[in-house]
Amino acid sequence: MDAFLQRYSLQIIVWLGALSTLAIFSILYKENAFYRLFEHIFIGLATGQGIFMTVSQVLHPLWWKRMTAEGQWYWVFAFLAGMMFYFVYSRKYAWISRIIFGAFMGFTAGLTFKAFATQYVPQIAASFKPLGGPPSSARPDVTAMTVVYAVSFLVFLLPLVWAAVLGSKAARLKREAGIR
Amino acid sequence: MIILRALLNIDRRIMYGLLCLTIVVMLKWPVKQPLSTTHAVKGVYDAVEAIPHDKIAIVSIVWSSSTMAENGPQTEAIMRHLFKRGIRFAILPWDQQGATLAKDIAEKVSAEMGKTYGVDWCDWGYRPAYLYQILPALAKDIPATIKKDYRGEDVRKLPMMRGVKTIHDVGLVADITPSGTLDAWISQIQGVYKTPIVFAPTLVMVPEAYNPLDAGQIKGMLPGLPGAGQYEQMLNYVGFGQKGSGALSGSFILIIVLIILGNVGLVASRRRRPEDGGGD
Amino acid sequence: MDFILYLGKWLASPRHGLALWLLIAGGLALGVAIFLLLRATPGRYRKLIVMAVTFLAGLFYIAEFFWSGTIFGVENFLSPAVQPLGDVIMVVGSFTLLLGVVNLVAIHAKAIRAVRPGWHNSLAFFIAMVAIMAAGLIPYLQEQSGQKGSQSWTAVYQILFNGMLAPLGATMFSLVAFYIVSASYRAFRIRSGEATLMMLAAFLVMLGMVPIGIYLTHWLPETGALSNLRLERITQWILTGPNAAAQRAIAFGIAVGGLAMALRIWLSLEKGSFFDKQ
Repeated sequence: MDAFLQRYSLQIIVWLGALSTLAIFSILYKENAFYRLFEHIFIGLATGQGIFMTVSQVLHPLWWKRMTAEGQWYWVFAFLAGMMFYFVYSRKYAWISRIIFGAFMGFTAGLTFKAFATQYVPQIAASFKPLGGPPSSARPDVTAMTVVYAVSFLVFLLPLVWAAVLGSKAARLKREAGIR
Repeated sequence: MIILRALLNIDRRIMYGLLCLTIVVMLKWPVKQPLSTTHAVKGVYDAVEAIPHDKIAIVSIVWSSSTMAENGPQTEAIMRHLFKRGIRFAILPWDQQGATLAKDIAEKVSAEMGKTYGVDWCDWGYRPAYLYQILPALAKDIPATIKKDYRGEDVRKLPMMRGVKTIHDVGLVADITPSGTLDAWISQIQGVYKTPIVFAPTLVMVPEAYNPLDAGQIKGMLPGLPGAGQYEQMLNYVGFGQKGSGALSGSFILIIVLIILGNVGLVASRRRRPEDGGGD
Repeated sequence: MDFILYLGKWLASPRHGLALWLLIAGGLALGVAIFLLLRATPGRYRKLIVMAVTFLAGLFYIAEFFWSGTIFGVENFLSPAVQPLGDVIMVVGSFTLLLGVVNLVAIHAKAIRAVRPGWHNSLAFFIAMVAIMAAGLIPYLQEQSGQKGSQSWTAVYQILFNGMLAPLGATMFSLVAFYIVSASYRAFRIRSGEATLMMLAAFLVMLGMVPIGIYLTHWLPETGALSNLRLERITQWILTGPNAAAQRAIAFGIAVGGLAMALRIWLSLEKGSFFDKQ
């Protein structure tokens, strides 16, 4: 088997590749069983590859080996936190999964503020160009415009905070008044 | 007249067949066509040329087999340039398929150019795509965040990683992607630490990328397959970027011809029914 | 304070052998205890817990970013935690790998059990998934345990990856090209002034990006006023001028919307199935 695979693997790859390509392209003519079969094989392979990569490159070296071989026992808590996601499948305890989902959403929300300041504020600054003025290479140094950034950021942020607070207040008043 | 009106409703299978034929013919018998180097592509070249030899480059891989026709040649071109200049680089794959595909490209190119794993390049291994959370950690301490390479070996022990501590030891990030990961690199790395970034998106993403390019947040861009072709031309080698650009030209011409035919059919049908105001 | 530091150091020090497994078991037991505690939490406090966790998680990155250097003589003590936190998020996030898989497995297992039409496709799904997993993991685990990785399994992995997964993925995505041809043939019709303008812009950008378009006007001079009529120059002008301005306006709109959304999520003001349920 070993020798066979070593000798013919390239040919097998070429033929399988051709077959797979034709199977998927067959949908362009019309819906057919050949396409459906290869579509399912593709989903299966992509899922399996995902599990293999996550286990072999993250979970085994960065979690299991650190916890067991390197003696960092506290990584067991990462497992417990990870398992919280799976409560989503339980109708009774689904709210527990919302704790960990909430944490991840919170992290992303927090980073969005940073992203706004570091990504969009320079773009806002780059938008203010003198009409018919100097070429883009002569743009002012963006680092020298920190004050402009800070002001722009606050100009954007403050109305948002205000709108968010007003929005929730209005929603509460609506609820209290029983308006749907 | 009947023929002209038939142009209004060409069977989709005929169009599919024509597209297939165009691509096959143009790939099999490529026609040498000129590729003029755009400012964006030159920006990538200059950014790679400007990397100091004491710094490494990060090749961020977010693509999978779906877009390998475009992102594969881009990856190869950037890797070749880095090898040519003797800049050490690390592959950082965020995609489960891209991890294998990019490693295969690096292995092929490094074998061709006589480079060694661990000395000239390394593969940090697949990481789940929580870029916004992982990049701030990476910026502060690269070996502590990456820890092991794709083979499970300690990255600190790789010769090329000697002296690499934080993002300040990185001279360039090349984000090769068909998705919106550039925002994470800009907001968490370039915007904070001013690390130069070059961008290699698929052609369909190009229009939105002119925004950060104009703001100076990215140093340059390889727009899809033609971008890879232009870069190959600058590096004096013929890869799929140049070969594929011919097929892309053929497909675009076909699309334009079909659109014109559709409009000819539309005009013909309008002329035939002037009493009801034309149109279809 | 000293005691807390001592306890922290004691807990963080690496363990081996029986002590390690006892501490892991202790951690698991603590997890079960926390679960029991959460189970017993009255309904009205549940939302509060989710809100508090979301708020604290968001607050960490916000405070870390805005607290640059020293404020009132206090050094930013959050910055050193950024790296370990990223490390933890990477590992914890990886545990979600089975979230989607559970659904897929359940659907396909049901199809096979009930012998539904097309059940053989579901069987093919399972075979493909297990095959590539085994072909990848077996040599990996062999190498990790100090043995030589099986050549046969590696060859099988190569066959499945390069012979099937890669071409299937590429071909599946390439179907879009065919649909785009059909869609643009039908969509780009001269029905109004705007539609004509859109079509012309599409023509110019398409041509200016590929060699044939560049070839069409390559006879024009490379410098001077006439050079602006070269197709690639026109394309560049469209992309960097009108396009970039419009894209930037859209991006700002999205950014402001995203910021508002982030604020609502962070403060748990967002209404909907996730936040309203207890």
